Amino acid sequence: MSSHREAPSIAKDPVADTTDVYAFVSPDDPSTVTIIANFIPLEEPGGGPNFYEFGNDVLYEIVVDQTGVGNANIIYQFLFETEIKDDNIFLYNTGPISSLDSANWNRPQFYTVRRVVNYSNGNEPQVTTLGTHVPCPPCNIGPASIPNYPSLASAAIYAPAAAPGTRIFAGQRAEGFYVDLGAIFNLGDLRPFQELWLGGGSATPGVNSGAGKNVHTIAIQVPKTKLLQGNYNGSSPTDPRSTIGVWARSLRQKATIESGGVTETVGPYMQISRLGNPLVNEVLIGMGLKDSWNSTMPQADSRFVADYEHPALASLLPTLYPKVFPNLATLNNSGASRADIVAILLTGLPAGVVSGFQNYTGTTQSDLLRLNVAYAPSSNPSLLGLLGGDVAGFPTGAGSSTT
Amino acid sequence: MDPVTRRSFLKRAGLGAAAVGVAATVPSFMRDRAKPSQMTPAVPMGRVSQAGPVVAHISDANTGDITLMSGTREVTYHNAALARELLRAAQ
Repeated sequence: MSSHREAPSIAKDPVADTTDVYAFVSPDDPSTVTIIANFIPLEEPGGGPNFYEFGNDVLYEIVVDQTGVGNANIIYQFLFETEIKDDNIFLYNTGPISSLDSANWNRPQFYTVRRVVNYSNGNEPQVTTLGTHVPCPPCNIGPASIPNYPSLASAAIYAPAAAPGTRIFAGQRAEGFYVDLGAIFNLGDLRPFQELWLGGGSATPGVNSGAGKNVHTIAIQVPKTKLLQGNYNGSSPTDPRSTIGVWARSLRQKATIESGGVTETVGPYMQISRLGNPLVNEVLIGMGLKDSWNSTMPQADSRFVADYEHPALASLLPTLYPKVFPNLATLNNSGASRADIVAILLTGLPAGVVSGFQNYTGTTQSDLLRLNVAYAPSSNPSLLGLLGGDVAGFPTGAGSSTT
Repeated sequence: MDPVTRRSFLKRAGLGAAAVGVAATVPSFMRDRAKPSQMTPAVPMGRVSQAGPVVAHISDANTGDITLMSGTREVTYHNAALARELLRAAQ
């Protein structure tokens, strides 16, 4: 789920902007987990002549925490490279692209993917290269250029020999973020409720700002036994090994040198964007700390707990919608900490709070998408997730039932 | 372990949250600066080029520390005299 352009610095660096993270037990194979991390928000499909692509100077990572303390126990790393077949042609393609190795595609992109296992006993990380020069599909720029995008996307699903049961995809997909951006950040305007809004107006239908836009997606489908401690299969929801924390991040090297149209980068990779739970950096973290939040590990998130305990948005709602939130106003006026928000987003919920559900990972406060892999996908997922009785929905992972 | 009820959990979580909320009383300028241990370690990856640039970074002239970056790595070493010489050359 989403966090588009949510901090000052990353808003100026869309190629590295982590926009959505989803993690769920795969409906097509419940012995596996699917994790999706999106980048590059709100791509205009017609954004030529140089269409969107992953940053060749950005390190993209999907991170799995097995112990709930905000560590990076398993990391899937992605680095991209772009080829230009003909320097003299200004076009992205010179004819229809019907295959990933089409001669008509002047600017294909490829990636190297690695799986890194970090041990808690201090041993050196185990690094496995799962693939090199793996092709991405082209951008879906129009029917004449891309007569059959689904076939190209399907061809781009990679099954690494070094990781049986794992499948990987990296390429352009449609935006899944449906939100009325134009209204909501106009002082909390919800068009269908404008007659209740401080700004006034008549109720009108909402506008989905993400409709018709694209993102760039990195998706992995991995056997549960490869993500859980001790190769556990995740059969019991009460076993603490069944709950993993998932987040995604992007990194750039410390120094960039621009000279004569050539860009060189040097130094260690530094994190500049991260995302676990949706909308945290977007609407909970204060403006002055958003860039700092993006640069730090979840294990240090207790330093931000005040923003979870007393969210500014909660204090604004009774003012923006007079007489609509009397109970929230009473709660705000009491000064009580929002222990519910802290629990849902920073530690997970232990057994007993919601009947038949738990995704608690311990007392370390860390912003992670907590997925209890023991809960099977619902045959009738609810958009409301757990609130709608769907134990496989948010806040355990963020499956296809929610956006 | 006693059964957890919604009320008891929220009560306990509220106390726990209040305890760690002490961090909120830290002056804002300290909240903004992450400690080095909180910064993100990245397992080195990428195209390490022997022919790539080498960048020297001096963030504080008083320490004499010089950080050299090459490829995807950096090393910091201490040489106060060299640091002063580099800073003089840069002016």
